[in-house]
Amino acid sequence: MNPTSLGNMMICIGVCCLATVLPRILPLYAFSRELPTFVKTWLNYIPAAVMAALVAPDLLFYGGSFNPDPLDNIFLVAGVASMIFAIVSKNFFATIVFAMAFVAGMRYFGLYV
Amino acid sequence: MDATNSPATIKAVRVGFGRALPIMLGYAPVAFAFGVLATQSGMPIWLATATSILMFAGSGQFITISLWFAGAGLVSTALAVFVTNLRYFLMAVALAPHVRPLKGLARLIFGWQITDELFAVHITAFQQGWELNKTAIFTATSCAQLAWVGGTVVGALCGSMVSDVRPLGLDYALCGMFIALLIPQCTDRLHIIAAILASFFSVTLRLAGLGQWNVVLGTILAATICTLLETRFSPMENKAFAGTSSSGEEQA
Repeated sequence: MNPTSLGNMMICIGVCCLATVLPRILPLYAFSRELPTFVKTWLNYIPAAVMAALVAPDLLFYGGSFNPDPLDNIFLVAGVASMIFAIVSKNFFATIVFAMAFVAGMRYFGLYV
Repeated sequence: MDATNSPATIKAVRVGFGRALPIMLGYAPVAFAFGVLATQSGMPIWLATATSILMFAGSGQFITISLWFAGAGLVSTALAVFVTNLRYFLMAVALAPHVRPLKGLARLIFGWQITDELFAVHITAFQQGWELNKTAIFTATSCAQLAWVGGTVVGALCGSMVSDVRPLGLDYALCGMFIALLIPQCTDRLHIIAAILASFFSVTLRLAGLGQWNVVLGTILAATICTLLETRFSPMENKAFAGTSSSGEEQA
């Protein structure tokens, strides 16, 4: 599927909207009863697991190929710095601003590309 | 609606706006980053705006454009978005008993507007015994979404003028958001193990050439292993307190 065709983009956005909205609204109607314990426990681990599964490759595949060298990979260094910042600040939006400012600053001072 | 200008309504609007204000300040710059990245990827301004109106999901929207424009295809893009948004399922389950007074369209819109931050303010209010007030709820959600859509529009308009997002660090907005969402989730040992396992599986599967499925498979594997670990090592607790999460043992 050609991702730059407008029709395909609209289909993608439509399907992804459904994938976002259904988990939000279905429980408000269908799951007023208690879920099985195993399912609740499993759902409880999804946020931590999915965020880690998303961010780990982004940090380690900077530039498209596997790059675990912290002296050559700004995303990896910024990731470690942002995690420490998040633990200390406990502030969601400050962490995002810090992460972007860290990357922008490192590039500005020419320490990383 | 004859009560539109009554003091009670004005008070409810104030309550809702007060809850939304810190969220608005946070949403605007992240939505700006989304608008820039979406138009830079080749999305028209109107579609980027429509995405923020219809989807209203931070990580969901970023994943949609990053996977889709990397050529991952419709099925794996939608699946990754769905798995990322499974956390909303849990949030909606938690909110369900509190929103029974909302009927029909009101409940649908309320559900549609569940985001991480709005969930946090709603559930905190309900847990403190706050009685549901439609005006306050929808003032809060509308203000938050207004900031989100507004930020997207400004970002989308700037996206066609900015030639390179890298000096602004905008290519790191998504990573920053994931980290900001991940760290508060690591509340106990098993959640940290879940995050480490998911990172390992995700990176390994991508190295193995399964770059379209690594996120979904890595998440499901890690969550399943940790669920099995939890139910295996605290069977007493699960039988005694069916339905409660057993994170107490690590904290004790």
